[in-house]
Parts: sequence; C-alpha cells; structure tokens
Amino acid sequence: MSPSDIAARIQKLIEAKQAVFETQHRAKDGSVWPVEVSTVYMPVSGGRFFSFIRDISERKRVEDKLRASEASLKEAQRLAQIGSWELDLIQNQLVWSDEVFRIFEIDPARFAASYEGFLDAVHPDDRAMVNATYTESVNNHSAYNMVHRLLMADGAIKYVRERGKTLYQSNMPVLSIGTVQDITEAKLIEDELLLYRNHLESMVKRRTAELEAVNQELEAFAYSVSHDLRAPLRGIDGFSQALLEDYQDKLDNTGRDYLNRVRASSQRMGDLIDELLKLSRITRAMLKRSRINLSDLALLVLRQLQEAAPEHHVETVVQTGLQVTGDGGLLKVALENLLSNAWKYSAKQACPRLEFGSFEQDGETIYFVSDNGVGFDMQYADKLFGAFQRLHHREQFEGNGIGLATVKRIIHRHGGRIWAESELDKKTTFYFTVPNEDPESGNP
Amino acid sequence: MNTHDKIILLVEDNPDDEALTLRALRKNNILNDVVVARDGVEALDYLFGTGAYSDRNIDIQPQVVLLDLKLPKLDGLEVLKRIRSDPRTQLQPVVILTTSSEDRDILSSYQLGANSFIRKPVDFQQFMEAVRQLGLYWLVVNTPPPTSGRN
Repeated sequence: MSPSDIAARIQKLIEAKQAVFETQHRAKDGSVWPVEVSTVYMPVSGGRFFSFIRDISERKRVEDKLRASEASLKEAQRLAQIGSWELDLIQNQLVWSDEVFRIFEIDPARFAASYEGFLDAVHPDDRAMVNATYTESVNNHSAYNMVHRLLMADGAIKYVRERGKTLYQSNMPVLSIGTVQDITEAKLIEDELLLYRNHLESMVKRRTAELEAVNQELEAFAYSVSHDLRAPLRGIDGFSQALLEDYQDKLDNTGRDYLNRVRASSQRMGDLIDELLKLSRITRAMLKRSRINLSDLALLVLRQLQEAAPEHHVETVVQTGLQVTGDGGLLKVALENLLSNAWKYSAKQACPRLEFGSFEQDGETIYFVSDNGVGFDMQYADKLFGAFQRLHHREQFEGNGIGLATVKRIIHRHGGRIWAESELDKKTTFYFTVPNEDPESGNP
Repeated sequence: MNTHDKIILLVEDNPDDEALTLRALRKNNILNDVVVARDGVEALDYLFGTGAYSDRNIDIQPQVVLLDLKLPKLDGLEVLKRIRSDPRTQLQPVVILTTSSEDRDILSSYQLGANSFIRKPVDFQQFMEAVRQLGLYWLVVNTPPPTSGRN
C-alpha cells in the first residue's frame, strides 16, 4: 500500500469509527501470516485506535482446504458427468451442483434450481415415471435408481441415471439427496451394441433357417432315395431270377451268365444306395455325447472281426483306457471302418499286425490305427476320404469306397481331424483326434 | 383249421413288387387267397366293406395285412392309423412291408401299432426268404385274435 492509500484508509476508519478486516501481518523475522483486525476509533488524546489483532492462519488454512476440496469435487463431478442435488423438504429448497446445471443445460445465472425446472427438462414421456419413482421412494423409505431421458431445448435427447434417497426425522421426510449422471454416451454405445447384437442374432437365425432348409431337403432326398430308388432294383433282380428259374431250358450258359451279371449289378447298386443312406444318416443324426472308452470299443470290434473270420490270425495290440467324449454309436462305426480296413488290407501279409493306440503331440491326444498291410501310394492320399474313391481294384480288396468317407464325417462331426500315412507293404497308419470341446452344439 | 382258408391282404401299388411278392409266396408254397389292394383307399374299402367291397362279409378278415408305406391316395401310415382307430379292425395283425428302412418310418409304424416291420431287400433270394418266414410266422405259428374280440 502506498502512503497515500494508508492515509485514505485511516481517514475512512476515523469516519466509520470501527471496522473488522483481514490483512497480512509481517513479523520482525520477516514471516507473514494472515490476521483479522477488529478496531475501534476513540476520539481521546487526539484520537486513538484500539485494535485486536487475531492470528487467523489456522482458519485460513481450513478455508483454503475447503475451497480446494470444493473445487476438486466440482472437477470430479464435471469429469464424471455426475451432478448432485439436495432438496430441503421443510423449506422446499432445491440446491444443484454446477454439473446438474450443465447436464440440464440451464444457465445458473438466469434460473434458480427448482423441481419444476427439473421436470421441464425431463422427456415428456418419462415425466410420470420419474415423478412416480421419486414419490414411491419417499413413501417407501427406499433408495431409487432409474434411467430416464431429458429433452433439451434444441430437441436433442440425453439419457441420465438418477440415484437418490430421503432422510427422515421422526418418520417425517426432511431432506432428499441424490445424484444425476449423464450416461448419454454410454447409452448410445449400448444402443449401437444392441443393434449389432440384434443384427448378429438375425443373421444367425437366417443362416440357421437356411441350414435347416438344406437339411430338410437332404432328409427328403434321402427319404426318396430310400423308398423310390431301391424298388426298381428289386424288379430288375427279381425278374432276372424269375427268368433264370422259369426259362432255364431256353437259356444257354452265356444267357445265364448275363442274367447273373444283371443280378449282381442290381444288388451292388442296392448296397451302394444303402451305404450312401448310411453316410447321409451320419450327417443328419444328432450327436449323443457321453464318456466313451475307445479301447473297449476297439476290442469289441476286433472280437467281432475275429468271430467273422476265425481262420484269420492277426496280432492285435490295443492300448487300454483311452477315453473320449463323443457319440458312442458313431465312434463305433468309425472304429469298425478303420479296424476292418486294417484287418482287410493286412490279411495278405505273412504276419498281419494291427495296432490301436494314442500319443500326445502339441498338447492334443492323437489316436491311431496302424497295420502292416499293403498300404497306399501317398500320392493319392487326398483321395482316401472321398466317397466312392477307391485306391485298389475291387477284385483285390472288397469295398465300396464309402467307409473312410464315413469315418471322416464322424470325426469332423466331433470337431476332430483325420489323416493317414503309408509306406507301401510296410506300415499304414490312420491318425485322428476327438477334441473334448467341440464347436458343434449337437444339432447338425 | 386249414391255413389255406386264411386270406392275406397285400396292399401294394407297384405292379412289379406285386408280381414278385405273389411269386415269392407261391414259390414258398403259401397258397392262400391273396387279395391285392393297389392304394390305401382300396385297402380300407376291403377291410370295412365299403366302395367296391360293399358286398363283402367283413366278419371274415385277413389273417395278416402286408402293408406298403408309399401308396397313392392314402399312404400306409394313414391306413394303419384308421385300422387301429376302428374297433372292428383295431386288433388286425398288420405287417409293414416296405422298401425304406428310414428310422422315422420304422418309428412311426410301431408308434401307430404295426405288429412288425419288414424291409424288402433288393436281392430277390433274400426277399424270398423274408416272405417265407413271414408267411410261416403269420399264417402258421401266430394265433390271431379271436373273431369275437374284434367287435
């Protein structure tokens, strides 16, 4: 302060006769602290000031702290987009924090907080619900938590989450307090997500329907094949037989041979149709999953093969205790095909040997069926699993080329893989996996 | 009782299958009267004495009905349903004799009360054997429900 300022202030004090003000006090050691000065002017002895000087540094500190805390609360509210409010139910006085004004887009300099101002901002369609929720919460002594819309002056819509509760004195509601949070952004993201999810769901539904339609068509096709395609074959076979029986005196050996060929062909076609139907049934069938002991299944299949060909001696090695989760019926069909193949193709070896086992590789269990039979040329390995693909002539080995296609389909339906390796006349191995977790839910 | 008096009702629309079935029966010395109905309606007319069979005495019913599934007009399952829902024929032995071996055909047939389900093999010799066994069983071995029980 300049000397003239000080003179002016003293003059003012003399006129006012008394004053209370805050100022700074400098001590002899140079330190400065805030003080409150209460002073009275007494016109005695040419005029005297009686002053009380109080150290208010503690009060100042608390005030600063409070201001800082209020500022950080405001900042926190602004960042979180959460405003707070208090409604004094006795005085009917509503107090909003700055953030509430901001959310409601009301200028605090022009409008005071009021319940009517609040209801005006609420979307007209939500007003009744908001009012009811608050009233109910007051009546029931319960807190509330609701989401409603705000309709802004420019027509924009905001979503807010309101939480609140009421305090009571001897059962009389005296004060409601609450928060209001602007969740528009989150709500819009949520809506967008919902849109995506619905889109995804409808896409899945559509694809499922398409799949079901294809499946139904396949079903109808198989049904028709089963009924209609076999009947004419029975005619061909039956009447050929009738010719053979009723006109044998008119047929020479060549004629009889031709008729027998006709019969053999029709029977073979009948078998092929049956095999194809079996294959399609495997595709269409529901998977019935349970814990399956593959070792026991393999032993059972080998016993059946041995019973069907008791004169055939094969050394068999089966690893015990191999457990998987899968459809027992289908897995048995798969093992039947693999083991009977191994049995069939090793039959012409001097010491036929057949093995079923497993090993671990890259964290998964790989099962295998191997034999020391004729095997196949690896250059045709990709043809092995196709329906009606044969790598040997029928005169050499019986078969219709559907067995491995069936195995492949069964393994795929279990979410597994199958492949094969062979060294001609030495060792042939079929490998497959049966994962425990399976992408297919059970319905094809 | 002479087994030759017993009637077989063959419900079959395919003339080839009809000829082959009759041949298989004859070859197996099953010389019973075989009435052939060529669709579902004709089969029911025979059993209930309606239509072309309105003069028939329906106290005499077939020893066994050999019923195909795929038939014109009324299919085999529908025929079976009507047979089972009428007190006059509800105990009538019915053997499904068909080309298909689809699970749903077998299941529906038994659910509707078929006495047996036989699939016609393509191989005529196997077919002969099937006909021989079913003839032996239903015409000789099996005792049908008493006539009084059918009313």
